[in-house]
Amino acid sequence: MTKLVRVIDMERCMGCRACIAACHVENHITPDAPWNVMIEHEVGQYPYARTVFATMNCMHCEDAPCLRACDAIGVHAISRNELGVVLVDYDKCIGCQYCSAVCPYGVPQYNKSTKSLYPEGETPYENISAADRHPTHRKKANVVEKCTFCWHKLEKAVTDGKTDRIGQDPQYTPSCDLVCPVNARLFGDIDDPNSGVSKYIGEKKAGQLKKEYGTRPQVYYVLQGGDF
Amino acid sequence: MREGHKLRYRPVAVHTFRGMAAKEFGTQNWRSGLVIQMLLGNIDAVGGINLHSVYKKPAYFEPSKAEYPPKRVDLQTSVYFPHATHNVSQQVAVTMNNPEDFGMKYSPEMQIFYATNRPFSTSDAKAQFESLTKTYNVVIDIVMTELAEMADIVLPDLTYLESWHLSPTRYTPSAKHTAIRQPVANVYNIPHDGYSIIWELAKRLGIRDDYIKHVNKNWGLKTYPLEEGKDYSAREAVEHLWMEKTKGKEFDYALKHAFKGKHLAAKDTYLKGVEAKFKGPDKPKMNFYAEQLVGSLKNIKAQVKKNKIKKIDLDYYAKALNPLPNKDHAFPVPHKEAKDFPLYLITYKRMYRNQAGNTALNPILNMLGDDTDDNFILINRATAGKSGISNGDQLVIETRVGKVQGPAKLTEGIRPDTVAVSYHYGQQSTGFPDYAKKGIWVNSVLELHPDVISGMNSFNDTKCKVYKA
Repeated sequence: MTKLVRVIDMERCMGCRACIAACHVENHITPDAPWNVMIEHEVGQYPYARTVFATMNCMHCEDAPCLRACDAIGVHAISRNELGVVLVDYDKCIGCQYCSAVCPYGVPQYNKSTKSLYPEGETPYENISAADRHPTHRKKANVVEKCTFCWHKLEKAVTDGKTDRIGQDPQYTPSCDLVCPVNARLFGDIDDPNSGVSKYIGEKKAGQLKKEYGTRPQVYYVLQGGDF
Repeated sequence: MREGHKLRYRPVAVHTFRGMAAKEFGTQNWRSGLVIQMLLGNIDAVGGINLHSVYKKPAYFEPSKAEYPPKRVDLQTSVYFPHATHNVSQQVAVTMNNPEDFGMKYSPEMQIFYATNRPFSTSDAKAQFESLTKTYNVVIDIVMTELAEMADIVLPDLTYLESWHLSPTRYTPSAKHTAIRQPVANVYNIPHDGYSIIWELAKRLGIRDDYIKHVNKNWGLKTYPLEEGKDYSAREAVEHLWMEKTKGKEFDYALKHAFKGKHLAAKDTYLKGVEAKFKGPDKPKMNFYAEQLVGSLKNIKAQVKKNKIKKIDLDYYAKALNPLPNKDHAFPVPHKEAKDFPLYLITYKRMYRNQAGNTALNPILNMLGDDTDDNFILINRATAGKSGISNGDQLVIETRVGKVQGPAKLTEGIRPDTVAVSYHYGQQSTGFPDYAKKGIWVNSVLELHPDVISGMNSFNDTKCKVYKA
């Protein structure tokens, strides 16, 4: 089996937001619905103070509350596929935002409009027809969006028979995990005991956020201070 | 020991430079680095401040000649700024306003600016604007900056995605490389870039061959020099640079790969440097940083006496050129003068912008978070509390130069006697749309007083008052 996870090392992260920029560009982001955000907060008192940086994107939970809520109301717009990636089908989504309400991590973003990044109007980069976009990039107003683990790249790995290269080859790896200048992000198969993510999680005692909700997230964090 | 060689010195690596260290959270690291550098030395040797081959630029190690009268309008390497090494952009305004004060043999009539925005990116915008009224100004840039608004002629430049360059990416201590950039687009069909404009100018002025001589010298083109009597496009110039730097690697390789690099062995770095140059009998002795300063002061005193220079205070220079770290603050000393201004105002660089105007126009950078298209006044929580200041309150920063206004952001990460504002927001050129103009133009209220050694303005010692708007 392949179980894809991301590891984010908050001891290394310096808050540059390169991962966010990469996500914005890769996933045709629109202003109302960012898929990857940075949360900063200070700890300590002067002169013993520091800033903690946490990038938050979808946790792709094994027991995803968003998926449960969506199924419970009979919409079935959210699914979890064979690689454990949780996706939203924009054509089925009715914009009720129950998924946003139940997500403990505040992930699903309601896209009020698909307006341009530029106030002056749409650029050629943005003006790409739906037919020429991957389904996860066919942005619509009044639906919910979120991080897909760059499913359009993982899907290509499946098509090419290269799932073993996920997390290693750039074309098969989420873009946010490729650009970190301080190697604070890793992506790969946790079911492979020799993978980079498996070793990193073991060595650095990385853990999931809000485990008490029983959501079993597929994103692990190395928190400042070690285990928690 | 390194790769089997016994080294006489401990190669202390302080791998930093101001542009990098001035970023958020970097200022204190940089200061610590400088202290270590002064006490222990740098990569190649005690007192050294050069990557790779040591003694490549002897001026870095030898006393300044402290030339007079100054050859350059920025007074670089002159008696005024004896160790300035990378163009004293802030000083130009001061010299332009009163050239005779500095012994200039001429009054400049024209300024040509390439890829810079001096009123915005350096201190005391008013003085900078005033200096621009004295001359005929030509600006070459990719955006309509505040400087471009003051220009008599604006010539549009090509961006790095539209033009040829020998890539200026930096080496590391253990690797070196040669790389090029190639144009991938020219969306506005702009016929010239900075390179071709200057070339054309040299041609029309009838100094092209002299210009070629200087280009060959300054670019180090020895094996593959540009020939006098010929014109060269930017692509051809980059080809000559590539060939020279790679010792003849064919340009087709550059067009395909754009990069040629290698890891360096110890013999190519440390051992090729100070050990080869200075170790053993009959080898010259290399100055320490401290010796260099002592020698420079001696030369300055000699120049002052010989030329009867009135406007130099030698006490200033004696203190600034002190050979050892000194608890006493070198000049300028606004903290001693601005007694009614209780706080220091410092600037820093947020990671999401730089001072080039095009980053203010970049929607991706502006969207990296709720706070990246705007800046704020960082103030210590305890200091704010004493004045009843809360997060988001509109504050006024008042200095001896002027006033600016912006929202407060309370933090534990700054000294109680200091406030900080990032320096690349609040542009006001009519060439920018409103969304790129958000924030505080903090440089407009910083004092302009270049350091007497380097000529670089200090951006960390303007004094200010802060109060609610």
